[in-house]
Amino acid sequence: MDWWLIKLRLIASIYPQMLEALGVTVTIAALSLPLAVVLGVVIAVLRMYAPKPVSALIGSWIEIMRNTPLLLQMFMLYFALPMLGWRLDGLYCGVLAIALQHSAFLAETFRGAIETISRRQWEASRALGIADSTAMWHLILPQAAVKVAAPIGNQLIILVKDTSVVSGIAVLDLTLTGKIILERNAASFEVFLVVASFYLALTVVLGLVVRWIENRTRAMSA
Amino acid sequence: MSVLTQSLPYLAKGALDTVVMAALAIAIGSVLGLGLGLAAGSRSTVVRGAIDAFIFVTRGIPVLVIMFITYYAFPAVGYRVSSFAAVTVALTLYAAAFYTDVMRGALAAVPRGQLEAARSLGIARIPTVFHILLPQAMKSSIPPWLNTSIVIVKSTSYAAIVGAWELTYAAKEIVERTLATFEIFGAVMAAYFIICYPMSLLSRRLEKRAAIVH
Amino acid sequence: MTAMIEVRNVVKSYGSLEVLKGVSFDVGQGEVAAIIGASGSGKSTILRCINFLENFQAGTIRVGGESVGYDLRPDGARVPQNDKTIARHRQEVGMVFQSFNLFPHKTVVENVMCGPVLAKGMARQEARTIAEALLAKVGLSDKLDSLPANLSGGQQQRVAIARALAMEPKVMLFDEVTSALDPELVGEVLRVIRNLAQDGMTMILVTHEMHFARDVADQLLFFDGGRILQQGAPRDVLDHPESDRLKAFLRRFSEANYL
Repeated sequence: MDWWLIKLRLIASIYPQMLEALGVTVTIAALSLPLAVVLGVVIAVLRMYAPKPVSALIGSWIEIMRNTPLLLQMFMLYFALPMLGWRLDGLYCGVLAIALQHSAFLAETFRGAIETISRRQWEASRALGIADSTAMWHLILPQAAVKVAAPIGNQLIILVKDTSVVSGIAVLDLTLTGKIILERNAASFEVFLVVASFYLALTVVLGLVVRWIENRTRAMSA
Repeated sequence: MSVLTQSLPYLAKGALDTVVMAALAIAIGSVLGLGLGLAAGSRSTVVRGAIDAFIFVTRGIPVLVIMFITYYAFPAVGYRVSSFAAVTVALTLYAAAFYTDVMRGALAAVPRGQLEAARSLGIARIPTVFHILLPQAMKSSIPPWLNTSIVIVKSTSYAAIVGAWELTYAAKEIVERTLATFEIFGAVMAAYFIICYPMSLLSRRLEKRAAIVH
Repeated sequence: MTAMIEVRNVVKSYGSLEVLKGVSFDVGQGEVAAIIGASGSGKSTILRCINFLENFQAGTIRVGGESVGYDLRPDGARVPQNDKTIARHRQEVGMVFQSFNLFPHKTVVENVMCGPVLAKGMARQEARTIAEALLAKVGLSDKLDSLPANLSGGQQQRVAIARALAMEPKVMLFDEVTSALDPELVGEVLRVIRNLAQDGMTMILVTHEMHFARDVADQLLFFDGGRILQQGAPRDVLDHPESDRLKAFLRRFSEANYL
């Protein structure tokens, strides 16, 4: 009985720190995702429409980002940037690394969405005499945007879990904060069960949002 | 360049640890995934619910957190295990959750008519699963299995944060000491790439082939 | 004398949708019954109830005198049968599907061997002998080691028939087995079914092939909205439709098929 009370008291005492750490994790995710989406669009467009050598280079970059660990990419940035003269705070370094990796995955998603927009959509707009560039901006891209909404949501769920990587460069997110609390209070692994529950809560909420997006966009895609 | 050549033996040892960790997690995780994936076809809602919960919770938290949990849980319940072992157990559980989902999906994707044909011949549930459903499910499960395995290989790097020594940990040690950032990290990235990229290519080729058939 | 197949007041619903509203009919030993009707009339459903691929909420079905799916207690309550009993019943009822459902990863002869080997535990050599004989009967001795994907629709369906026959069933059920076939392949399958009928197999055919039904069937049942609206000798039902719905059905049919 005593044992449970001690556990509960511990959990209650760490909640303030945990909430702060939650803020850090959410901030990292909130900064990384838009950056990843923008970069992803740029990369996808370059991959599809740039001249051959550039497109091939981009393609190689995408494969490298997708097939090497995020932690390694982040270490590379963290150690390399100061050498190039940029002093980037750990948090922003993490945001950059996460955005870069996720932009590679999103670029492939975007490319797929644009390429599979039915050829008939192009034919219909050309038959109406609409210029290709106008069609792209007003007809194709909006459809592609609807198509990628749910995949972006799913990518966000993975991204939120990936934010834990910043523990490797001393950024006080949920994971690292958990470790520090454990070491300072000589507490046991239950601290990390609390950490896990926070991530799980984020995953559940985001999952519901994605489901809602999927339901709303289902009727709108051809 | 000489920093790299000097460090190669050290890095090679790290790579070996990484490969062993990944291989164990993939092998044991796949076996567990197959077993649980089959069990997920059970008529018992309790069994299905438990498997659903396992997949949901394990995939809903970062693998790094699972690693920390096992790292501190073992000593807490009285077992003294190496950090390598603790991290490998975590990675195996994580892998099992993914592989279970893969097998479960592949089994469910076998056309209903196959199941009905077997049942109408009077074939019992277990022979139906092993002789009719599983062979067909195996084929479609390979691309997602490969994709999961790539994720597992990359996830071994998180062991460095927990303190288990492997390739990424070794690389970081060397770079902190020598600041030969690009050479060392570049070489290590190449190592991961050499393992993961072929799997990625194979997975996409198999997916394309399957799409053509249909 | 009890009929080979006895269906009594069968009611079947999917949730709130009632698809069978009290269906009763008999099929005597060696008889061929043909079922016609529009889609959604319940004709496939009753077939699938007879080998218990679908459960049913009320009524009884007997094959060879034994109740299928449920046992009746003295007090009238229904007790669901266990898996083993159901499997045993299914071995006595052969079913052939519209979409063939052959096992794609097995050769033709292995497909036919599956039932005896996996359901009855027969030795492979014995099963193979039976399979080869049946495949000869349906005219496919030259395709023993082919994979289903390399066969035409008509050939695949004949393999499916052989596979069902390998279990030596008392009764054969055919669920629109020619509907998915190109017209020129339909004849070879109907020929096999006709031979089976002449050999004395008890059969129920759900079909759109009116000529065939008129020729081969001993009784014809018209299903509509989950009920049997008319049943009797094919000649009587087809030439003297009693209900407006049957008249409309036959009219639509002749328009579509230049009957």
